Amino acid sequence: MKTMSNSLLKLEIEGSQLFAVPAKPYTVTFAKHVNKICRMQDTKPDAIAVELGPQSTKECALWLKELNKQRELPCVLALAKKNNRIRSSHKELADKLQETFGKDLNDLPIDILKHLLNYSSKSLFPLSPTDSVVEAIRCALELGIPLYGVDLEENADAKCKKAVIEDAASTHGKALREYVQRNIRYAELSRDNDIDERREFAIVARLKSLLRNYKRILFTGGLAHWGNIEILLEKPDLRPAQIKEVNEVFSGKFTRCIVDPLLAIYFMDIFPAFAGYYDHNRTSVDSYNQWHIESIDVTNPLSLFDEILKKTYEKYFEENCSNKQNELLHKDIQERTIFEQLLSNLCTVRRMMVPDLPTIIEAAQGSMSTHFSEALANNFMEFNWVTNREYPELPIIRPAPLQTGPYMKAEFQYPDGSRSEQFYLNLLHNRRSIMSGVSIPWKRKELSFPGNCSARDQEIFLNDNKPGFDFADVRTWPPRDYLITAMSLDAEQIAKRRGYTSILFQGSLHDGLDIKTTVRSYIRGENQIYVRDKSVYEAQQDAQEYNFDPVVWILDPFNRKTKDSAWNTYTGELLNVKKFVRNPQKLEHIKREKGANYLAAAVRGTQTYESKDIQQKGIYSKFTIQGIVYFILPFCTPEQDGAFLEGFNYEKCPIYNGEIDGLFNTIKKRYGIDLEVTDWPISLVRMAIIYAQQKVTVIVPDNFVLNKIVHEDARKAKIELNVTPLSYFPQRNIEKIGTNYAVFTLAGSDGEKYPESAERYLGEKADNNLHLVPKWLVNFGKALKAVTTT
Amino acid sequence: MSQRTANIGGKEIQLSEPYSPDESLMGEQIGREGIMELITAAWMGSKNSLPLSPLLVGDPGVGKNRLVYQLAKDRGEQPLYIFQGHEDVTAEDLACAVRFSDDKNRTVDYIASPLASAMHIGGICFIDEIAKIRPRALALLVSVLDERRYIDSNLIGGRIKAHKGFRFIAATNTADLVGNSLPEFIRSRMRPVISVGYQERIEIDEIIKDRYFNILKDQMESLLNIFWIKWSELKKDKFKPPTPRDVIYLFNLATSLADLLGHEKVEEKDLERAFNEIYRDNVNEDNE
Repeated sequence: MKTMSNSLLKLEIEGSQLFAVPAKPYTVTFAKHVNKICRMQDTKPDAIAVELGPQSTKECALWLKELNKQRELPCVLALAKKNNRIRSSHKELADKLQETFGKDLNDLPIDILKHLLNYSSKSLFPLSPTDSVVEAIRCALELGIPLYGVDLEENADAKCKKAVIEDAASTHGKALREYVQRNIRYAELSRDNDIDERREFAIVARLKSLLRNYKRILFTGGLAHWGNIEILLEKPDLRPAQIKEVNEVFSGKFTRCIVDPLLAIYFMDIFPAFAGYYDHNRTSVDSYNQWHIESIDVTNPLSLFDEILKKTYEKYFEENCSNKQNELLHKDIQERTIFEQLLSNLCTVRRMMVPDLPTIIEAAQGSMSTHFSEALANNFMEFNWVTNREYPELPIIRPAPLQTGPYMKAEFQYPDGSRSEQFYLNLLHNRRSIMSGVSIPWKRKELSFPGNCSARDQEIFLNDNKPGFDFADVRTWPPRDYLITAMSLDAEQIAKRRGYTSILFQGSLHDGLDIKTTVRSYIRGENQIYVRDKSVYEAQQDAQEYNFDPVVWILDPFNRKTKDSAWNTYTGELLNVKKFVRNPQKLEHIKREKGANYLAAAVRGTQTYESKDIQQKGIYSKFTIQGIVYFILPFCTPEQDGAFLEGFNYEKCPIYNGEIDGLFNTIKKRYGIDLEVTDWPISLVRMAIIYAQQKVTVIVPDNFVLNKIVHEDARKAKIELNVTPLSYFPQRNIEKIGTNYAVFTLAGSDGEKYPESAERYLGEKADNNLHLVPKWLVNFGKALKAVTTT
Repeated sequence: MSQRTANIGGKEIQLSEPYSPDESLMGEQIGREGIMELITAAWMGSKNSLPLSPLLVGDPGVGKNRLVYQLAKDRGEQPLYIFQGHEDVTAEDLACAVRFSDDKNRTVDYIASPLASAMHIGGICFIDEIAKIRPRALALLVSVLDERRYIDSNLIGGRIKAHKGFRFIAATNTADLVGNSLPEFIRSRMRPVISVGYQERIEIDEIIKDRYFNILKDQMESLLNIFWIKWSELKKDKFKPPTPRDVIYLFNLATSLADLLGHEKVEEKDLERAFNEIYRDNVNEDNE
């Protein structure tokens, strides 16, 4: 019944031939096998079947047909589809969840649905040239032969176990049969019988039907299925099932999208350049070209890897060698061999002939400086990625910021700049969840939508795009300001709770003897023993003890070298608060002595200006924040700013002339600290320490360690540095404070009212979250005036 | 049990006792393949480079120690020495301690620390909670973790050189690392820094099935479902997956309660009671 032909997998079934390419998804080797079978005269198929549902295959074929005019596939475009299934074995649990929460499944948090029911709400099929299924569809279109999607259209997420299989590059594009024999039993470890068995029955039944109608068929699908498919093909009691050719299939509901490079890398074989190399050298299969097949076959990913690595070394070490003080560089030079050794060892352990991008970065992060890892990531990510300039109407699917947990969370960014709710993802053709892997230290260049413009053009833009209502000025969006204020207060409390408090010894040692306090007590003649306790001190924050010291939020410190990231400031002019202070002469004096502007906050991040349509709704710009230091509470009015400045004798925030350069120059001149030479997270904290009176609260991502410079600064200035991890806060809140919208305020409202259209667009009332901030703090300006008056 | 001794610097030194985890309590290692691969690769070394000394970072209970036990197990005969870090560790504690001898012919006994013992024997040294050790004590590790691979002990009056097979690993809780508690001179020598995160449900379920299969048998699925419902109810505002320790403690308590109350098998109410006992504060806080 079956024979193995040369190095290819060929089955003879009732007079027909089935060429199979059991594949590892998104691996060039298998795409090449498909290409080769379709190209060679003695193997060219009459029809092609792929492991994909009929509607998905149709949708994919339609889009690839449109893209066929382009020689190379834009990388990476994808089809996304809503997933409606959970596995049947989870039905009981799903019912109980609905009962417990009193909500429909659709209304439950996505994290609960994912972790408990293994449910991803979206399925994705990236049209990467590296995938054997994509290649097969391309071949079917080029040859003009019938195409069939033989898998089930709807499936629940499969439970996936990791299986280590041999690097496909070891086949050198030739010995597929031997490769499959060697690896199939390992690949099968990743099978999920509940889901996969049903699918394999359907695939085989449909293949049997096709084998009756065609003399030679090419089928490509997952390697893990092939063993069972072979067995089922031999079972006579499994009857053929009719299947429609894709052109006759009803269309399904799919979303075409662009895949962000940080997500796309998982679909580009070992690294993007290799995928690009394959697609660049690939030519249409409708013309026979033996030489070309061989030239593709000898593509050596190792030499490509060596080339990019060499380029990184040259660029990184040569560019930086002029700076002889660069300690990191010297360390990197010394430790290059350690990096190479670790990478080589990782390849051995993971059975890789050539390392993939996550492994390369893992080895770099484990042995070299952050700067080197970034340089390496930049070079390996260098690719002509598709952007919304080519496809302005398409949304971008991208990893959600600040990933936590084992699964990858994603979101859509729409052409108008808005973002979808976050969701979990699986792959459409194998139903495996996309996992959050190694974090690649590469900053995506902000994809610009047509409405965006550069900072240089903003003034012209604003003049041309004034909103359709009278506006007073542009202010940051209050709900986000209230939220970050409340979170800052929480952070200070958390830092306190994490500290020790000395208490009198009353029988329990708690967290050990507090020797210093005890000695002091003996010196005072009290002869009391004190112990340390972590838990007892949890004072309520109140007006009396709140001292308005700066708070620093470091949200995304790992992209410090990105070109789009820049400094920005939230400032006010002293003259604007003159009418609110009790002693205007002093204000004038300060202005002459120090400067005309006061700094409420310094921020690092990326600003994008909204499109005309959105500006008409009242939203001026969006700032994606990497880090921010607040000197003055963000929701303050000029009146409150005046009270703050005067109440603290103009000493708790920078006062300077000019723009950001003026600020840095002032600090350099007055305090001898050059903020431009350090990384921005360090600069933010150093700036805060200068203007703090007792403490600086810094909130940082877990695992992020503040540089010793800031600890040294704090020690010298006798300022307490309280560091709190970001993970203390809910993820959604962190995401919310990471974006700061600038919104037009309505004229005649003292800048306190916002247009309804802006509230609608941003999905909340302007006073949302106000309740989170204590009333005494909301009204603190009056309180301070009272205090200073008395 | 008599301890092994070694002669270092002309002195007879008693070596610390290696740790052998109880296999019946340990169960199978589920998941974490990527991390195991990375540590294995770091420990491989070569002719041109020494083995690296990884640092595991993660929240309490995620299974950092479990990983080290598994690595030690996979390495066969190589003994595992564990040093527990805390604030009162001194530099000398990391090398050697002295005590009055029970042997009438000797005044004092020298006891090599787990680190020194592992170095001498060629075992694995695992320092748990390394960030809790004060920087001045950690300074001793510098020469262990760079190409010198030795420690000098004033008490012994000699040098303990690392055997070729010696491997080092340390772990710390994420919260302990915040605020630069691990000095740069140690941090730069501990590579790679490996983040140990939370595991997916399928792996947590596997861990429980592996440990409690004989006790729970046919109720396994329904009890797991109850656990997950209760857990998601507890964490509905900010869902965070449980750690293996969370789940193991809970099922331990549930099985003990079932024993105590004379139930033939673990019942749903045993698990619910165990849950309420362990998470009483959180449940109350949530309800408030």
